[in-house]
Amino acid sequence: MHRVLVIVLSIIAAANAADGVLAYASDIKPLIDTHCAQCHGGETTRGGLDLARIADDVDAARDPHLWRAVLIKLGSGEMPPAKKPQPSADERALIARYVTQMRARTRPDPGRPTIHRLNRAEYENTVRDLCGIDLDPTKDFPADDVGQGFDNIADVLSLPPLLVEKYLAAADAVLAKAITDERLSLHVEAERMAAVKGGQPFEAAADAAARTFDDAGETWHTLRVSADGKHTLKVRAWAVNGGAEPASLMLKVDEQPVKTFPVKASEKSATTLTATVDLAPGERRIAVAFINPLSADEAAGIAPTEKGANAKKPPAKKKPADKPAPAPVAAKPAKPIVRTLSVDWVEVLGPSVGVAPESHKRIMIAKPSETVTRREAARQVVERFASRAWRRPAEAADVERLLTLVDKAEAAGESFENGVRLALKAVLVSPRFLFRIERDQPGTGGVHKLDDWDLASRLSYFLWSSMPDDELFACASAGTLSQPEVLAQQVRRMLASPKSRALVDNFASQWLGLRRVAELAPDAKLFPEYDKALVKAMVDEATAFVDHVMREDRSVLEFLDCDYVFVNDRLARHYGMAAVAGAKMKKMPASDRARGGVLGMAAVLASTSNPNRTSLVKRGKFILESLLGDPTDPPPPDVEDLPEQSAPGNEGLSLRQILEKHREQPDCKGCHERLDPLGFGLEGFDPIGRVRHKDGAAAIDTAGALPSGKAFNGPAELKAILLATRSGDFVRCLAEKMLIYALGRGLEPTDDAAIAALVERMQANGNTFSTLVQGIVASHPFQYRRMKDSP
Amino acid sequence: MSRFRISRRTALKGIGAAITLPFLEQMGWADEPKKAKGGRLPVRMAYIYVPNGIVMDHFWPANPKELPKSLTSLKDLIGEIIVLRGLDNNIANAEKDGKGGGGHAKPTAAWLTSAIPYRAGAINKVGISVDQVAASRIGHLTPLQSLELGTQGGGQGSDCDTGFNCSYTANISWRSASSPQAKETKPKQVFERLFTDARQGRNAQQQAQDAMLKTSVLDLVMEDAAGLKNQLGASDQRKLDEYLDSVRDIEGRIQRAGERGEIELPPEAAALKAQLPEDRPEDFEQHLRLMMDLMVLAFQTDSTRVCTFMTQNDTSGRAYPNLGISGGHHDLSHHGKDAGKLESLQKINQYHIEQYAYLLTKLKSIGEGKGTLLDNCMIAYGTPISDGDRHNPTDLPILLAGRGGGSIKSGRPLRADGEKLANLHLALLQRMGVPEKSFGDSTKALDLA
Repeated sequence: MHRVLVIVLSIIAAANAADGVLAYASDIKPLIDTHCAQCHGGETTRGGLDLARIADDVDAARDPHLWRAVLIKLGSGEMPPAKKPQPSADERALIARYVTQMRARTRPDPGRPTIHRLNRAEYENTVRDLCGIDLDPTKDFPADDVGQGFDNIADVLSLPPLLVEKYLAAADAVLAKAITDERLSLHVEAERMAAVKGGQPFEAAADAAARTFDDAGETWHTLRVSADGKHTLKVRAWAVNGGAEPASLMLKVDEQPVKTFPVKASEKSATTLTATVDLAPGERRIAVAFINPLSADEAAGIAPTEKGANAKKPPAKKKPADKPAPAPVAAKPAKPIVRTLSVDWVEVLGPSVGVAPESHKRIMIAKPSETVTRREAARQVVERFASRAWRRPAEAADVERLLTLVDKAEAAGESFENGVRLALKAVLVSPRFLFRIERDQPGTGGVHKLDDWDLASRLSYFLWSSMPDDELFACASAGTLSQPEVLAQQVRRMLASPKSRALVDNFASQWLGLRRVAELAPDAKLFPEYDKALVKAMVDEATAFVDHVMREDRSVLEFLDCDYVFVNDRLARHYGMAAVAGAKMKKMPASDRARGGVLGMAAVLASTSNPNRTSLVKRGKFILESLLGDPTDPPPPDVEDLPEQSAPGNEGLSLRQILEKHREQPDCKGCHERLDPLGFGLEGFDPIGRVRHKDGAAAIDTAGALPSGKAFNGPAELKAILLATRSGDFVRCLAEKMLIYALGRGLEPTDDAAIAALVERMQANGNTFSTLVQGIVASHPFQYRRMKDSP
Repeated sequence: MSRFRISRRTALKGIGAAITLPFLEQMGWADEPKKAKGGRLPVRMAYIYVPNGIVMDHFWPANPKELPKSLTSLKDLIGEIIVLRGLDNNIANAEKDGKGGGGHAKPTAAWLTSAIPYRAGAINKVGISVDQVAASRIGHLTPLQSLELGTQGGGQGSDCDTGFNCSYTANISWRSASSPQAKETKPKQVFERLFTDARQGRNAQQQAQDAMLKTSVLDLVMEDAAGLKNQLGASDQRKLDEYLDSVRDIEGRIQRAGERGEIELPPEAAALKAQLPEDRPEDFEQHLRLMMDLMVLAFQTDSTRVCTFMTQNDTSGRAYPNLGISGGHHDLSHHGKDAGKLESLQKINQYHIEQYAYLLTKLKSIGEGKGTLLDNCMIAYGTPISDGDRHNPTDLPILLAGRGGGSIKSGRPLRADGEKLANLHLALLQRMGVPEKSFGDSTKALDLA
């Protein structure tokens, strides 16, 4: 690939030197040498960066990600440092243009997201939309693994046995609720039921076709009854009647006798006994008992014997399973007297259920009837369900395999519904459901456009954290989804749907660290007012705000600063604002311009604090990392921690002085010079996000500076200066985070071109939220993928 | 296989309400690894993790006659314990990427793996942990191969420690270099997990039918997965293998539960079950103790022989107002030699060790063979960094309780200066009947005899 690149580059360079194509060696290197290489080249390589080694276009293209950093530093004015000679505006633009050209020359690579396991939110939503039930089967799932800031990163999401167990249990719970047994219809062979005889467990032999009792005992089955009302119990039985009376069969429900029948029929004329009984929903134990075994007297032949009955031999082929009847002690060897009861099967028929729930109708699209066989009905149900669950049409062979489960369940005596449940359970624990698996398209030369089914899934999991709905499926089926105007229209429709709330709950809440708020534990002695209601209000504020920006299609720059806040009664008090009634979030003007935007939110301020004090470092880090996408390196190993104010030598020093002392160490200087001055801007907020004017007895010091050295004082000025000088960085940062989330993978240097195009599109369209989403959907990495074997 | 079921059931008939489980005494050995001599009881292994380091001054007995402050609660148990220091796990910091950070994430990920935890972007890359090596070799002898417990769910944040994935700080058990073995944090779920496929009150045929249908589903989805293989790339394949591995694990569990036959739980299990809340208990101590009760029950019923337990995740900022201290645990662990912070930290250490004492007392109260359940256990307690302020994975403080079936000489302090932590792992592994010659970066097995 490199060789190809070199050839391409030299052709382009030769052909285009005239019409504005820049060459590194002649156009850029002189600028770098003048303004950068003093500190970042040759002998001194500050921050480990050596720009002097880059001689030409090939060198420059080798580390494309470096140029992302160069543009950020240059654009923000952080580099070259203020005290050094500055490049002119034209020179800065030249470098930016060169990077754009360089990116355009790189072969576009959309990347290849790994097969993507549904995370908790996605699983819950998918099951909700698939089955139409309101149930959270994921509450006992283990937490998802998080990487790159999000819990939907395919490479990180693992699948331990614990989770597969939860999937199995969840599938059972979901299908039990979604499908009702329209009419209980159970048939159980007695030899498959539990039994006792003579007080001992009575195991049936493997080849037994019925259960034959030669001693008192019973056989039973426990079933789940879902409908209240009259059920019909049926038992097929026969007897061998020696002795004075016919065999007596007792039917019992939950140990209570229901009805007793004399059984006179022989095996050849076996009888079916019927009883009607009220069964309440729940687990019911249905038992068939043999209650009058031959007494010793009868066996001894003391009672008169009926010739007819005794002449019949015990059925040879229906021998009791484990052992022959015990020979009565005093029996006459020639004609032993016996009385046995054989039970062939038990059936339970339930009443019809009134109205089936919506979920049932949605799933059970066919049922067995005189014109539709059970298997055909099952096939229709399974095919439809699998196609939706797997998010593309199920193939006939797959459906056929699933139907073998229906067959097995039926052979085991399960109802039609239970058989279907078993097949649908397999659908729900299949890798095709649990993973989003995108298809390679052979013959497309390595990189290919997603087919419409995969595009529909990417779209719906991005915007809804759920499966595509019928309309998306219809577009995919018609093959129109990838048409730009159809796609844009669908995105508009999806954003307008309540389901796009997922973007707030799953994207924004992770971007802003809101999920961590519930785990914070501010010092209870210092902050007794910090309670669950406050935590909820803090998180609700943030989500209401993001939801507002999305639904009203506001400029995303309002995240940085705006003149309104969302508060409820509790939070208004917390913020010291005019009273607001009710627990619901209301949009109010931000009279104190310290508030407005994410930097004035208690949720953000608290999660960037320690339990008993604020943290300049954490707050500075939040701004650099989450808002500007320009993070610092982590501290070097074995670095000494920030000394406490109480530590020896620090007595009487202010926090700022201690930090300045700390920054004197060369290891710490580079990063803390960037972090701490930003944090100072937010010192006017305490560890739970209230405005404060003092820290203990000490006055608050809120004088800060951006990495570029631009000074400000307090949050209002900090926000204004960010907006004025770093709004492009903010938009880029947000676009990067959202693209990571949309793709479920970390970004590569090859994505920089798409990001740059996105930022441009944003700026041209007032930075609206919908432009961001539409831009991501329209981007190359979103619509294309790389085949498995291409480089 | 049926030998097991029939003999165990017969044994159970006569037990009634006995507190101990005599069936283990008579039969536990029957499913021992082949090399075990008749009559030997199974050995169990557990690692109990605490975050953020331990204050060594109050952990290590300076004066052999006096128990250090943090170990006070172990007064009656000290004869069962080796108090150990000096082991190093330097491999935690072996990645030479020139970047800093990971002071917590790396040692925690390396604690039971003794492998290099790589920063490696979105992909986890460390190594298989010692408990999972044991589970993969002897796990087939019990219904559950291993049990992973904790009190806190996975990390909810991008970056749990300077750019390292939260997987590194929320897990100590690793099934493979890229797959953490998720832990269960809800006591009720643990109970159900232990006994869900077990036969309690159901008849054998019903259980067999349930198992048959369940297994048919698993067989089918594995076939499904196999059919997908040819369209997958290497990273996809890794995920699918993980899936297959997990499904197989469950299939094995269903089978083993069937072979095990009817089980009768010790009477206190019913009482325990009755008090398990639906969700995580609000009360931290109750949470810890319920989880420990369940660990004991799992070992007692031989449902598994391998367990790991995380007392909170790494960098836990939990506050301990019940100890009369203010500040979060992690914050306090960055004590900067501040006397007040060190004092608070010591109180947390002592409190955690009290919970360990609760576990040990319970294991000791249960008879097994001629001794106690604890005699057949190896319960290692520790933290992946020694000093929370320095993040050093060296001179690690460890408590090792139980005699490993009589192969460990306990009741003593042991200084193993300069030896590798992996040497301890190897020593425990060998006592689990896994005759490995090395583990991680071990140089030899630590001498515990």
